[in-house]
Amino acid sequence: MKYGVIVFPGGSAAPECVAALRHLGHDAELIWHGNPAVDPDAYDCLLLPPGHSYGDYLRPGAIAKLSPIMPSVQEYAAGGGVVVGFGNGFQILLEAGLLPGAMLINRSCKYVCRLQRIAVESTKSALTCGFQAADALLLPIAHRWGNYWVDDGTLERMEHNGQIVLVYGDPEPNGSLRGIAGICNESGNVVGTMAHFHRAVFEDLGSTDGVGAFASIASWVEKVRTGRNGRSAPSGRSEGSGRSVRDGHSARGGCCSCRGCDVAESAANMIAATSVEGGNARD
Amino acid sequence: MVHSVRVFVTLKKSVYDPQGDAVKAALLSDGFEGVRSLRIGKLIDLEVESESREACLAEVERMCRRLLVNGELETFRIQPAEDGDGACAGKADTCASQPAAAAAVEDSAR
Repeated sequence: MKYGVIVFPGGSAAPECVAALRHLGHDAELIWHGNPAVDPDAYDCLLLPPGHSYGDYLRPGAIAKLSPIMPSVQEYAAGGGVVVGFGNGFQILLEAGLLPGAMLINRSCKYVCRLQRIAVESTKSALTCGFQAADALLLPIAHRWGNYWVDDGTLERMEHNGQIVLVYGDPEPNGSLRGIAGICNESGNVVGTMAHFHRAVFEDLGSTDGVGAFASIASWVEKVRTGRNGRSAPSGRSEGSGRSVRDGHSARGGCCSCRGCDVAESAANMIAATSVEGGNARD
Repeated sequence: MVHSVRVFVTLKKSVYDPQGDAVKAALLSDGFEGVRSLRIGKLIDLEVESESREACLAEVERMCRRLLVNGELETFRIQPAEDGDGACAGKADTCASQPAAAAAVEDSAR
């Protein structure tokens, strides 16, 4: 399993996503948003991380949707590739039209940061296919713009198609229509949620309920892969082993040669440093 | 020629505005008992180099649909401005002395 984690300017959580993925034994590298071409064979999943890209100016995700990388993300999704957005990544997918609906400021107008009960409503998506419907998860949320809204007609279609994949339990955090916490597109390969699944893979952080979501993605990818042509891993890639965490520079490989790569590289080095410490502390 | 344009972005009527409601509640509790509704939008001032006013307005409308406005939630109104009135991007001091309301009234009369 190889993830490409897209780094948008001002976004904050790409490094922690990479750290979480590597902790789970996946290969993961950062991709700078200025990279106009993503090799679809190089990644099993593109992850749009949380974290207030562009300072949430205008509307969260609005400016990021015009990033040079977005057309190739669109293409990747159109070709059946798995595209997942957490938090701001979800907002970017909405703004880009990869998912229906839009985000409003939370009904309370407050920034909500806590562990939240969230129920799996549909197992149709790449993110939830490994769960059972009605599974209750404990997941971190942290946002001020998570009040999901969509018009009635679209909502009806989404319900009919099983596109509402996650819903908030009590207490409901943000006023989202129908308590919607996560949705997918019609074919289930594009998924967005305000839940930070990647922060729920370390026991020390209060929940490991996020682990199942990454297992879901892996099984979805495997299913698509065997369904297509029985090919194993993407060309020239081996399964992640955590080796790259200690390597410290492997994230560089996913970047283009634009100036943004300095940012990506320093973030990668940061991950390498923190991950190694984390690893020592855990075991 | 550079044209000044002002864009008003407002939430659709069907969309609940938590910010507006919070501010309305504050005004009511501060004694402004007559407030019946309050909704918060955005005002964007632009100066656009363009051949004609018509071309400029068409260009700004494209900008609205592409980025400035989220059509799922919001609607917009584009208001062109003559030199010295209405929109005043980059001229904060002029802006301060020109209430937006006055410009809007003038525009609707135009």
